[in-house]
Amino acid sequence: MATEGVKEKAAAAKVKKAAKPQELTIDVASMEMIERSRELEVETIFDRAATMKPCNIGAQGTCCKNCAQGPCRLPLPKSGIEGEDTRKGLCGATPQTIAARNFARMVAGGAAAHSDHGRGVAETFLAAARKETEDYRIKDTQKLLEIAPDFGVDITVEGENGEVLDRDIDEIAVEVGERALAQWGQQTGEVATVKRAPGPRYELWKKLGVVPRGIDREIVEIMHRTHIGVDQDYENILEQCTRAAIADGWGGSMIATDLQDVLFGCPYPLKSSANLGVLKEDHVNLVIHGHEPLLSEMIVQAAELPEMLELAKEKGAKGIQLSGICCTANEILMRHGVPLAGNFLQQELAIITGAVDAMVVDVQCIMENIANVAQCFHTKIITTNPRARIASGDTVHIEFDEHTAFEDAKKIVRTAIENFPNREKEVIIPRQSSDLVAGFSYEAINYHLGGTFRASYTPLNDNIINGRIRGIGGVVG
Amino acid sequence: MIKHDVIVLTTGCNAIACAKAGLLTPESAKVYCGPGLAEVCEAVGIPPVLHMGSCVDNSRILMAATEVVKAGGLGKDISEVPVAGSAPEWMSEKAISIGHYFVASGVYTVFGVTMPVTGAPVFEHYLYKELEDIYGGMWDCEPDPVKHAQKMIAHIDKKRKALGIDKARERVLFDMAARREIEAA
Repeated sequence: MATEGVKEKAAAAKVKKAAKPQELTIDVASMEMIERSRELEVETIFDRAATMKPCNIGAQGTCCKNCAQGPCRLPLPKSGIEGEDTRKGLCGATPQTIAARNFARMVAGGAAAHSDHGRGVAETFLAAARKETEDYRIKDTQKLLEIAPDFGVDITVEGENGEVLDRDIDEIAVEVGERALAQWGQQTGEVATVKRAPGPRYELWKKLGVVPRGIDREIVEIMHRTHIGVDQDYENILEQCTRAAIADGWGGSMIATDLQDVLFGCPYPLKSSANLGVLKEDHVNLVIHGHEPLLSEMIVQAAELPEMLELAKEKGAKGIQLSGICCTANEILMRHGVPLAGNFLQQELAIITGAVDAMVVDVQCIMENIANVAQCFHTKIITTNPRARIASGDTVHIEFDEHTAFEDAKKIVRTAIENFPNREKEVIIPRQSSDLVAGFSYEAINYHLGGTFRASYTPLNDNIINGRIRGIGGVVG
Repeated sequence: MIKHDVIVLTTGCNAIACAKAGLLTPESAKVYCGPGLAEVCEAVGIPPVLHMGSCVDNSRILMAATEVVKAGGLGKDISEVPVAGSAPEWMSEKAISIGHYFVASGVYTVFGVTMPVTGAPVFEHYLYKELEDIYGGMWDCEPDPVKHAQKMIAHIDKKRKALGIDKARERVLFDMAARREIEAA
C-alpha cells in the first residue's frame, strides 16, 4: 500500500509538472504533436524543460570555469550589493571580467559556427571554379562579377591594342575562390568584405582599431584572451569580441551568402508554405535539417530524378515530399520554394507525426534527442558531416563530400524511400500550414522597389522620410 | 512592429515563426499593418515581413542597411538610420555573435528571454549604455514581447527625431494651379 501511495504521488507530481500544450506554444500544430508525444510517452524538449531549471549563476554570466582552481561562482545576491562590490574569483577576476570572458566565448562559438560554414562554401566554390567537381557549377555570373572587385579581382583585361575586354569567367571564379578562402587564414591586413560597410562606419572601425585581420585569427585570439590570466579588462575583452563579430557578419557570413548565391543563384521572391502540415501521409517524407545549402541543393536535385520517383512508387508512395527544418530549410526555400516543416523546437515533433521516413542533418541546432525520438518510430536519422555525429540512438552516417556530392545525395534519398514501407505507428499529421512568400535577397528588394531600370532603395527611403514607414526592424534568431 | 508601420526584415528560425503566423504574405499587410506600411506593401506587392534567408544571410540585412544609407536622406551611417535589431527568442551562441555585429554596425539590438550578464552590473551597463557612445549602437534585453517592441519603436522614433523627420510630412495633392504657382516661383 505504502509503495503504491508513493507511486501515485509521483505520478500526480508528473502530471502537475507537465504543462498543458497550449501553455507551451501558440502554434496549434505543435500543441497537437506535444499532446501526441504524451499519448505515446515519447519525451520531448517540452517535457524536459519542466524539470530542468537553469543554473542561476550561469544564467547571470558569473560562473568561471576557465581553470581548475574553481569553478568560481560569483552570483549577485537577490537584494543587490550595497557599497563596493568585492566579489572576486580565486585569481581575483571580477564579475565583469568573468561575464565578459563568458560573453566573448559565446561570440567565438557563434562566429566560428557561421564562419566554418562559410569556409565549407568557399572550399566547394573553389572546387567548382577549378572544375574538380561536376556536381556544382557557377550559376549566377552576374553576382560573381558584382562581388569580384570587393576581393580585388579584375573582371576585365586589356586587349592587344589596349582595348578593355571581358575577362574569362572561369578565371575570375578561380581567383575569387582563392581570395575568398584566404580571408580565413589571413594574419595581417583587413578582411576584404569589411569595406562594404558605409564609409563613416568603416572609418570608425579603423579609428577604433577593430577592423578584423583574418576570420580565424580573431576567433583564436578570443580563446587566448579568455584563458586564465590573460585579458582582465572587460572593455578590452569586448573590443576583441567586436573584431571577431565583424569578421563574422561582414566576413565569414557575408562571404558564405555571396558564394552560395553565385553557386546556387541569388534568391528572388517565390511562394511556398510552412508548418508540419506540409508533410504528406502518402508521400515519402524526407526532412532536411541543419544549416548548409551544399548538401540540401544536391538532395533537391536528386529527389527530382525520374528513377527516384519510380522507386518511391515501387515502394507504394505517391511521390517524394521534401521539407526542411532550421536554416538549411531557409536556404532551399529561398532558392527552390521547398516548404518549411518547422523551426528549431519542432524537430522532435516532426518525427512524432510518424510520417518522416528520414531526417537528414548537417550541422548546428540539431538536438541530440532526435536520435532517441526516432527510435520510437521508423524514422532514420542520417548524419552527413564529419563535424557533427550523434552517439545517442541509432543513426546512419552517410558522409557528404563535395567531390561526390550528387552520388551522396542520391544515396540519402534512396535510404528515405526504402524506409517508407517500414512505417509502424499510426501517422498523424497536423493540418496547419501557412502560405508564404520568401526570397527577399537585398538585390530582390532593390528590384521590387524600383524595377529593372531604376532599381534602388530610394522608394524605401522616401517612404521612411514621409512617414508612411516608421522605420526598419531586423528580427532574427 | 508592423502595426506601428515598422517594416520587418527577418531571417532564420524567426522567419519560420513569422511564416507560420501568416506574416509572410502580401495579403497580411492589410490585416496587421498600420495604414502607412499597408499602403506601401500594397503598392509594391510585398509582405510587411520580408524573409531574407538563413542565419548567415543576416549579412543581407547589413547590405540592405548599407543600401539605405547610400540611397540618401537618412543619415551618413547605419547608426543614423531609423532601424532597430531584435532576437526575441534567441538561444544559440550564434545569436550573440550576430547581436554583437549588429551593435558594432551601429544598431540598437534588443534580445528577449535573458542575457547572461545580469550578475555583472558594470559589464551590463557597458553593453547597454556605454557602447552607444562608441558605436552608436548598443545591447538591451527585454523578455516581455510588447515592451520589447516598444523599446525598438522608441529607438526608431529617437532616430527619426535626430534626422528631423519625426513629424510625418503632410501629403498635399498638387492640382494644376498649384503646379503653375511652383513653376512661376
